[in-house]
Amino acid sequence: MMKSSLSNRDYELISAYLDGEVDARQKKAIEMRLGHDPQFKSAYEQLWQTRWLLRSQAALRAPRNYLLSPKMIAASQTSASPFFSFAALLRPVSALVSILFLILFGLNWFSAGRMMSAPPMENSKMLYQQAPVEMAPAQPTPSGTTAEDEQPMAKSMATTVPNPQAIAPPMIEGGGGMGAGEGGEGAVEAPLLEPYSATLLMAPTETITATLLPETTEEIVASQDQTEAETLQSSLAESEETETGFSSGQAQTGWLIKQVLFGFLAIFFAFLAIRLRKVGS
Amino acid sequence: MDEQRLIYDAQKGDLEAFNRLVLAYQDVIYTHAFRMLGDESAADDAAQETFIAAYKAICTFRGGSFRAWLFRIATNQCYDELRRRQRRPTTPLEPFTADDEGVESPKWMGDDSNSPEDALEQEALKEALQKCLNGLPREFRSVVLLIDVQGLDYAEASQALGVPIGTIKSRLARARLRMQHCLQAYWELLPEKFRLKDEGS
Repeated sequence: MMKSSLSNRDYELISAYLDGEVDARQKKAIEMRLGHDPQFKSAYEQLWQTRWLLRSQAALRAPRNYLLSPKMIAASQTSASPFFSFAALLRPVSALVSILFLILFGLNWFSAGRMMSAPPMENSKMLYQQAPVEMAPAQPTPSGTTAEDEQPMAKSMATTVPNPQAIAPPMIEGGGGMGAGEGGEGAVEAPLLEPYSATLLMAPTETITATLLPETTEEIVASQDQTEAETLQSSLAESEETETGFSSGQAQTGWLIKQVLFGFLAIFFAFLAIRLRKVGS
Repeated sequence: MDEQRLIYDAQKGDLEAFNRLVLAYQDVIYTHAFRMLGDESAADDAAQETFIAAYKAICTFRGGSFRAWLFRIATNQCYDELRRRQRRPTTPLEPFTADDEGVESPKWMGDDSNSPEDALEQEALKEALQKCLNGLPREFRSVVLLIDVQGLDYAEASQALGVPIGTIKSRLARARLRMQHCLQAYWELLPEKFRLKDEGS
């Protein structure tokens, strides 16, 4: 047989042309080529003959009738494999789990993106030092402040979370509204807030409020002395170093492992759902 | 026969209406199963299973070509059978006599031709075609059977097989080309009028 130089695309066009499944432009091009390309014309004729041969086959007659009876229907329903009912349940569950892992994947990515956009440690430190000045007007709080009075402060802390400046440890007055009667002019910084900045970035308002206030209160009680505050400031610098090392090393590896895990699980369950769909059909 | 009305009634649980659809389609479904499987008893089982599955799933039919929908079920039944065979390959294509000799002109390949000569020609042709069909990958086989043997258009074949029309086009072209090459090997079996012009060149 003559070696054909026609491509698969050529045969595809000829085949579709035989069935009238080409558009007007293709039809014109094929007819032009049939006129001047003998090899193309020969391929056309051979495919035409093959197609005609296949179409010339008469339909067979069924050896019997396949009429259904209620008994047959009942028998087929009772003999249905329990795997199919299990598969029918597993299919939507797998799809849901796949979507869940996809959402986790996205959230993890999103939260990582927000962490990346946080200011470098130098900025935080600078803001940390400026914070007492900026928040000074809000400091004097009358002793005996109730929890309700404190709420606006908590809100302001929480609502400014997306702004990196708000992550800097806020200036906390002696009383802090929580420790009644302990107010004083010795405004003390809350040094332990800084290491939690990453957590705060992701936490909702209520969580931040709930997390910060009790701790700050404890810190206030513990660090009224100015000297102690300085000590804490130096310890903060140390913790920054630790944090920097952690975020660039372990945190990134952990994040990456989580992403891979979530992605893998999402794909796995999606694949499972698709396979079960095919089994079901 | 108002097919839509019968489908509607069958969806309401009217078995009688569904059986009228069975009578209308049983020959084409059996033919499709036979060409896909190349085995009478397997085709018989596949056709019966197709109609049982179709009745159970008739409520999921949402319009379009009922024939294509039925072919889809039949094709899936055949795929299942072919998968089972792959796991446990046993049955030869040709039936054997008690002496383990192949039957040359088996009854199951016969048809209603008039003259003995025509019958022989048809017989040879059917055998050659079935052998070539059996040699095709099942995805190619189903496309060529639905379009060239059953006469579905590309859109119906696409619905029946659950693949895009572009895939139907390319699979069909490749299947026809393979059939053409395969039939060259059965040159002596083919009647004069079926022989390709440049065979042997």
